[in-house]
Amino acid sequence: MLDKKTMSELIAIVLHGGADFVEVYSEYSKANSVSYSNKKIETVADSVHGGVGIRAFVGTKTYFGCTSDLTPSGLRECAERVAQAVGSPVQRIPDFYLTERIPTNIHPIKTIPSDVPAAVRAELLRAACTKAYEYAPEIVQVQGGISSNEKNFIVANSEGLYTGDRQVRTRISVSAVASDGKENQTGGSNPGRSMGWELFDSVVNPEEVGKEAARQAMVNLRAVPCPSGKMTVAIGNGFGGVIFHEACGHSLEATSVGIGMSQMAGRMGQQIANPKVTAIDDGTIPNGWGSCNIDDEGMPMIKRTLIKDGILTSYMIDRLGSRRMGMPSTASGRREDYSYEPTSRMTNTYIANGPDKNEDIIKSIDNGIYAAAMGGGSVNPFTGAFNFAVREGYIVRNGEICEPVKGASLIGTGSEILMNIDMVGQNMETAQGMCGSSSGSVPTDVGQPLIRVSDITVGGSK
Amino acid sequence: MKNAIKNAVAEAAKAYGAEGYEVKMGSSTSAAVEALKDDISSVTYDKSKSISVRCVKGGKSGYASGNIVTPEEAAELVRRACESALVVDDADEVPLFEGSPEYKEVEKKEVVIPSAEEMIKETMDLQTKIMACEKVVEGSQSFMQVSASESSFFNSAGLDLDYESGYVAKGAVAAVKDGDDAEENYEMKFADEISNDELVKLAYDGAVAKLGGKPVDSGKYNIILENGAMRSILSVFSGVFSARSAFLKTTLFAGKEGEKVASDIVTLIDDPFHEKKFGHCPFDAEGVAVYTKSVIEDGVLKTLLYNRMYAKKFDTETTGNATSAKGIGVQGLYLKPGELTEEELLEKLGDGLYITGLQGLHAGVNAVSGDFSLQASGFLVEGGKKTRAVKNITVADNYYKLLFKVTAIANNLSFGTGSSFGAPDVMFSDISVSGN
Repeated sequence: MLDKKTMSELIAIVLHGGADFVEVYSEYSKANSVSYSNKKIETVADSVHGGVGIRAFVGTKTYFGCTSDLTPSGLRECAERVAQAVGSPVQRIPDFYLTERIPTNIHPIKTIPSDVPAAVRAELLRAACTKAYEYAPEIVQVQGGISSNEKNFIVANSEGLYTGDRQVRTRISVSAVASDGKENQTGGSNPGRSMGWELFDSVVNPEEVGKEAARQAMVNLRAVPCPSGKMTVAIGNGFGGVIFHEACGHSLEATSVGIGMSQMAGRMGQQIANPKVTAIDDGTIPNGWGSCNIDDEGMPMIKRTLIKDGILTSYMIDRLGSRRMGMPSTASGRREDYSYEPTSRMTNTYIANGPDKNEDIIKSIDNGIYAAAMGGGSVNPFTGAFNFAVREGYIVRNGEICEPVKGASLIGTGSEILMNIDMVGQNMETAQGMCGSSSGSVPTDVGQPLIRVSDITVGGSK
Repeated sequence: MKNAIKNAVAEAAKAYGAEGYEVKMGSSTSAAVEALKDDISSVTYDKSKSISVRCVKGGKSGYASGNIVTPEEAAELVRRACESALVVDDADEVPLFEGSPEYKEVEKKEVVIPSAEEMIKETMDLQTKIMACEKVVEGSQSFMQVSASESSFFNSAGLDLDYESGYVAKGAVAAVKDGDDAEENYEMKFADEISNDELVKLAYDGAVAKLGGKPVDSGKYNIILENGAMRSILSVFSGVFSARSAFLKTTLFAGKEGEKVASDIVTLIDDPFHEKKFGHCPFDAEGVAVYTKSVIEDGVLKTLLYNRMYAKKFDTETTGNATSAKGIGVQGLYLKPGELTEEELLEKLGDGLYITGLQGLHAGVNAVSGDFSLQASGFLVEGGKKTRAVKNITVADNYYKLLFKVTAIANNLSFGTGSSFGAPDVMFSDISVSGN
């Protein structure tokens, strides 16, 4: 990674181009993966990834260059390109001194995964996948992987900031295919944390991951086509929180709010959700999948209450969003790597526990769906339209969970569903995901307790 | 630089006891300008390189990759790839590739990265035009992208190949409002395909047409998937044609070569060199010469797609479809167009839905079972005419069944900008739609 002197020189080159703010981000990352399929360790791969991103502001205009050519001439060319794009050269630039700040480490790491021998990583994965095969004779295929990532970065800017972080994440995933000869159905499980290899000592039992994947595939194999239409739906905890992430979280990011492309723009202090809904984005959960010590713009990480009792109380704002919206940064600037400009992103985002007992939620539904496990989804923040897939669902009839259903999706608009969350249970859990946006793919947790949505469109094939 | 890397890899391979190696290198330079409201919002410049190494040791392969391309890093990648090879269970069943008898000569498309000033001027012309449209709101954006890239491949069996490509593209996002109703429409095209005026009109008209959309009643409908939506379906389910999927039993097409898998009018072709497709690289990731083949012909499955490893497992020849480490992908998969114009196809549909947008493709499909349930938008068609906008509905079916539901195909084949998939508008019977 670059030293302080080089970073200073690059900042000065771009300030001479006429920028009013310059930031240099230097990254060196390592990733490792082991994959399994068809009862064999299939690939073992690792990669090293590094480079420098240089960003300049003139008001709310941004200029950005990045390169993986770390020679002095390569770095200089990149900075000069950015300075030329800014295009209003100045003779004198303001003085700046880079002062190092060391962030508090609230996500301690014990064992660096890339130092664990590949053979050890492979055997742990094999044990997880074998359990899936053993679950039922109908399990015809199991695929799995363990991936780990160590991201080291330093960020410096023309306001004198000079700080950095080392972020280590480890995740296991197993997916199973169940077949009765005519039809294939799948199940999966993929827990991870901002942890090293100690993840498997304390938090995740690999064999349970394999079993869970197989269990879900078997449920789906005996599932019937899902009915379609408007219904009352109970959405399970953990990854069920993707509903909030997609339907509301993205609409609260400065990325869309700051340019007037969100339904939530200008609604601070207003009732946007049912009073039972309190929603939080907390990047400080120790070793949480979406946690960090600092954001990618060098701001110490915080906990943000986005919605309190249904009232909008905070957006998620990065440095550029702060300029656009005239509001302070909430330390939400994140980027996949040096080659992306940071923008406002979520960390660990969840609906907090509410007043309702879980059993009362199911009992309250006469005819609807219990979406026990959700898949991914997407949303258009401008129109608020979202959709997401149900990975494991059941019919609820007269307050009882009945037969499983397959091929279902939930669709609607963000503003509508937030008001329609009319019961909030008490078993909040988080689950891991990768969130894609203009600054790339970043790890985020979603989460919630069991909730009830009074009225939502279920798309099914029946 | 390539020679220095070749020497470093050869030396390291010897030092770490590799029996063979294969290296892919890439470098690209790209620039982009974006405009928002009445001004430029961002200018970006990206110069990046990549290298990936496969080493064979003990008859097995290990992989390592990076984006810092120096002889020292390359040697380190060889060391790590050799280490990884020892852990893998799967023995390589094929030796490194010595080369195809011939590789197609492709035209070199030289792209020069313009100055920031030139790109800013062009993007502002687009932005001024989009902001001048009647119903647009501030979130409307324009952009321009230029990219030039080189890739090369070499291995210890003496194969050494190079390919260069590049493009200039521009795009516009029209965001429109009418009362409380908000819609947006995104269009991106290669710069030599379309004038700025035409691009803005396409983006704006598309957004305005979506205004006033509402769901239809749930039920079974005959539908047309517009070419873009059809491309998306081909893309998300392209894994069903992979021999790797067949080997892993994750596609129902395993062992179905020669059987009827689609309606008679369906012909799917994988053509690496189609004139409408971007990028005509003459070799795949294993250095095999790529070529054109029918995957489905008149409804009959003719071949799956193979790399060398899976061809060996199935005792057949590679089809030149190797992607990354042991992976298989399409080279240019398109649905053969029919005779009807878009208007004639609408007329044939009579009453039904014309679907222009499918969302949630990364989540609402199950590539193994073939089930999908996707949020959709488009138009209600009555008496062969589009009568109003439709949104917030889902269309759900199963890919394997869908192939038999094709009832007519239009002649408007299009590949997405930069996409490896092509399709015309396609009509289907009896599709589940949920709405009201």
